[in-house]
Amino acid sequence: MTISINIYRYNPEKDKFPYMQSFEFEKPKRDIMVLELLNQLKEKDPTISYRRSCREGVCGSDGMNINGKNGLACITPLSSVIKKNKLDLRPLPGLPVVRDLVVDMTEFYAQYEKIKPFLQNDTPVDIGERLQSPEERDKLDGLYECILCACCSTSCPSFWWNPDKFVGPAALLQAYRFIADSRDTKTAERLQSLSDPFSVYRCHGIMNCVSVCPKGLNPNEAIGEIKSMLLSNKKNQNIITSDKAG
Amino acid sequence: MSTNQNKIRPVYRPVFINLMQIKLPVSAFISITHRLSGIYNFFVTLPLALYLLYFSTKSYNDFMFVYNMLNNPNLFSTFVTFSFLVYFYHLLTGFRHLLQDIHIGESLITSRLSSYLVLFIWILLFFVVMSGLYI
Amino acid sequence: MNGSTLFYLVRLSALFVLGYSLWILSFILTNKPIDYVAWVSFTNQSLFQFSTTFAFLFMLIHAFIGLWTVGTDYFTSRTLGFISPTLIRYADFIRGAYTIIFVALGFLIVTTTLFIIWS
Repeated sequence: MTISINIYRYNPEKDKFPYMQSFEFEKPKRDIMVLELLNQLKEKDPTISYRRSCREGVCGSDGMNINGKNGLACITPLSSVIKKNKLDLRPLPGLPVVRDLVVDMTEFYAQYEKIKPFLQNDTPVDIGERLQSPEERDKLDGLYECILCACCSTSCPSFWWNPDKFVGPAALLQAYRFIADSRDTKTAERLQSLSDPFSVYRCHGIMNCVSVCPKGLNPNEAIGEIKSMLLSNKKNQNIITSDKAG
Repeated sequence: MSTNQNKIRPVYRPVFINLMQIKLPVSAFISITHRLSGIYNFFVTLPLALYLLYFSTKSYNDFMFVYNMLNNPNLFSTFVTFSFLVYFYHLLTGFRHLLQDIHIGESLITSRLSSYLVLFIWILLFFVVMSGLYI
Repeated sequence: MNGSTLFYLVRLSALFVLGYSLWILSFILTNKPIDYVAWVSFTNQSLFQFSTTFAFLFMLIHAFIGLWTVGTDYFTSRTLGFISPTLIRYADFIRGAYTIIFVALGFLIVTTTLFIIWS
């Protein structure tokens, strides 16, 4: 049983336009991950380029469009994506292609930088650490696990049309991760920087982000929380009203 | 890092954006049809509604003309019925949007459920109204 | 303009128009078959006149925000560039022309509404 694999190819030094290259591949007896398939294809054709590192779904390097849906190649079993013995591998949509399946992540990282993804707390610390209750820590579940693979943002049409103005689901999830953190004191400033019509409000609940996230996170829910906070003008409160840390 | 943005990049880099090759779940379909129905409403349904309002209140003869046109299955009544169905589609999907604003239907499963529900209700209404016109 | 302001304008105008639409629909459904006298007496009452005026004004605000969003999504150098590189130069012009068209149509709709209802 052979499967036909079509890979998006583009070499800026040789090709004027991208094209799809087909490979015939013997269907493996046991189920393998798409990354393993790519590795075996690379033995046949060493010029195929793709990013990969941890091979266990924690680094976020090998995000790509597999049979139409974004995902991490290393944790996507072949059986779960193969359709009629065909597999289409394309780069993440919307971002400029550097080569083959490698995309330029600059715009994605720029939006992440924009939301200031670090704890902002200028109050002095007495005991060497900022305390946080288990309940406060629970608020970060579903937010901190993001590996910045860009599967969500590159599946979002709003991000396709305005990657420089709309912050995107990944960065907004991280923005909310810090807004929701009880140890962060700059909530008002964070919300203020997101209050223009483009940064958050381009999210129309398309929910592609939720359906592709390889870690099962829900950026749409986080964006909904940010919108609620922007609308109710929570200027000088953290969302936790119990003992603030620091 | 910000130095990454200062790198010199080639003028042309292709982008993969072929919508026919990207899988769009049902909520994405609802979102784009909500937008298209909104545009259709503004350019077609709204002027049509004004046209109907004007002629239905102008005089008795004009009212009867509009009334008879709408009560029989013809091109005009089909067009009017379709336009108001599109208006109603925008209302339905807009209502789903309002529910999401108060955090109802934000998870993967519930949003899919609400999408299919909205589609089901509208398709049902479509058949009820169209059959009412034609049967 | 503040993003929250636009958000509220869209939702509040939508709610008003939703309520208005349901009111009109309920009248039509509870008075079938409609005769001329019933329709004219309904449309002549000041409640209808005022609410319809407001409904069309709110629809205009709602539509303007929506159509502006559509313009800044699709009629940009980036998105038009996906279709054809030659369109990139004309992106701002196309968006401007589109804006003028829908704003003009919007004002035409509102003035026609006011004319129909109040004269």
